[in-house]
Amino acid sequence: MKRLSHTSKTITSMLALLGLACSPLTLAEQSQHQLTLLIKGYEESKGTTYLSLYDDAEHFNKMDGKSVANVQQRINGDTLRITFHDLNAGEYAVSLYHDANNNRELDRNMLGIPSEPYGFSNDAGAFGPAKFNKASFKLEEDKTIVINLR
Amino acid sequence: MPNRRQFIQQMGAASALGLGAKAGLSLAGTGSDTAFNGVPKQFPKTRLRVEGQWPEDLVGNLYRNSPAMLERDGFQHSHLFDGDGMIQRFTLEGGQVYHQAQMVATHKYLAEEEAGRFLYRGLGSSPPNPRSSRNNDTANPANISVRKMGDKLFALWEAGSAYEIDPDTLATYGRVDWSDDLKHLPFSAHPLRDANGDWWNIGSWIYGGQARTIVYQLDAKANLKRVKAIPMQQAGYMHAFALSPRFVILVNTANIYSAGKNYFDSFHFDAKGKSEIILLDKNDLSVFKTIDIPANFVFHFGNAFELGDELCFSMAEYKNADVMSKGLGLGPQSAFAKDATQYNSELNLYRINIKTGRWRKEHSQLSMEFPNIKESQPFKPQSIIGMGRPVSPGSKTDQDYLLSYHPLTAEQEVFDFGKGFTIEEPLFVRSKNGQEYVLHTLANRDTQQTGIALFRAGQLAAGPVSMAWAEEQFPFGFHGCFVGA
Repeated sequence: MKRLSHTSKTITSMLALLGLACSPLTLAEQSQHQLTLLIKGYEESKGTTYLSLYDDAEHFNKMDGKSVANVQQRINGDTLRITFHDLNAGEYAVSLYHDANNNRELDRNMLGIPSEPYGFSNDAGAFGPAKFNKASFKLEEDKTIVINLR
Repeated sequence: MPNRRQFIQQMGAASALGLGAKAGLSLAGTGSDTAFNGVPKQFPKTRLRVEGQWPEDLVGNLYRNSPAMLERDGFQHSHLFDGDGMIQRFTLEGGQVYHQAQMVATHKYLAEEEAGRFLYRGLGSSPPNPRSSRNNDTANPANISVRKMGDKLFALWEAGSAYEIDPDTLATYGRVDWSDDLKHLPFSAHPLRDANGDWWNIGSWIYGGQARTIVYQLDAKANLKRVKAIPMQQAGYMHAFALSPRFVILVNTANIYSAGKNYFDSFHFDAKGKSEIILLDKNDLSVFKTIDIPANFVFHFGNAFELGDELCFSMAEYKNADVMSKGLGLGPQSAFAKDATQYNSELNLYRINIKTGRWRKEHSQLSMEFPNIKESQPFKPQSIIGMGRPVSPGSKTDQDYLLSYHPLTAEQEVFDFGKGFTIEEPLFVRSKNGQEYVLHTLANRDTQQTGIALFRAGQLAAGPVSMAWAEEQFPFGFHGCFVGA
């Protein structure tokens, strides 16, 4: 299983307790890397961030449980750092939202537009939900990416 | 005893003699595009120099909203719509006139104050390395109008939320969410009051491939009663609307949105396309009728009234959208810098047979903007007052005049302050004893001073009965309201 850390603290066990454990990942004979996400732009230091890491377009942002990993993390500050360990080299994309009022869903207005902050890797999604090919990036070595909340 | 025109001439001469300009505001007639540089964050309360006799029974506050903050850290926005909103208040009491003003403390304004520079794209211009906007309120400057609904005062934009303002201190209470599922949705700057005291407004959503007009109905205390999102056939620009006894009247213009580098760049005027008059039944907010008309552009409407089966409403109608894309810019193509007449609108009356949908248009052949009516009689045919625009080629914005026009009788009145004066939106106001007046602000461009003028309604040509002048020029504004004490 991959290891995750939040501000250098392993939270894998916490995710398991919450029923959000990562999907099994076979550690094949291939290179493995660390991915660090810096999520910026929290205007409210409260609530929870729900984040999913995907490695294929079919399930991207579908919330169908087919992600590589899911993370939920309480907010305490204007930036959140999450690190994934032991990821296979490959193409990934991230989607997340900030559940500021802790109602466990992304609030939307009457037109279906999110009224809570959200984000995608590559800061994609300027005009609606991002597509995998806009949000995806290659992981071929240890990497840190910044995601600015929308 | 001088007559009123002589009184104006004397007033102008007196102003020119003794009083210098403080605010660095140099606009029309100068060819300069440095309007509103150096505007302070607030204007403390000052007493204006009164000319003539202000009626003792006319007591209250004229609130106006101005796109005041257009320059920060060496960057100058190049479109008038991009200035941060400033609420100006002219207080009439005891025969005196006082002024004070305060910036609206929007999310945008506070973030940019902290950063010391503009952070976000404007509608018509963009600072270097702008931050992305999270929602429609991220860069909301709350800069178009200020209206009182119920006992609350709101600073209004057109593409985001209202901000509530303290009517006494002008401090900003904060953003208004009419309900949880209406957060960050557009709420236009031109709410209209129904005969029963309710308020109606629209919000135009034309982003992300959607075209919806959100119709709001608020009660007399500005509590949300009803809201509905109406699908639109085209993503046309809509700034305001009209209201009749039976209908909410939309004009979905031929200025079509398709995402571009900034908001105004995203619009393309489809001259070969169409505009749509959309009649929404106030009972259930269903589309009663959609009527195609030739491509046009409009910001503002006069009032609407119904004569039997005939629905009539006025609009300040443009042949294209150049006024938005270029005319209100602050560059060399702006109406402030060169011939303003190329951006003129015409006050036209549309008459629609409600049963058949047949329509006709009556041209006033008068160029008017900022039309207003007596809001106490919203559905009665009446004279419309506004800024008359000069029609002689080469005329500039310092040749505007006060104009009143009745769309049915064609009766008109004019008062021209003369070259060098720019007038702003006139409003009908009523004194405690029921006397109707017309009140508006204006600027003496030569002396760079802001003034306020009062006319008896129906006697505009006689000139103002009283005026008052500041020692400096305050930021120009768009719209406002008078709140009687």
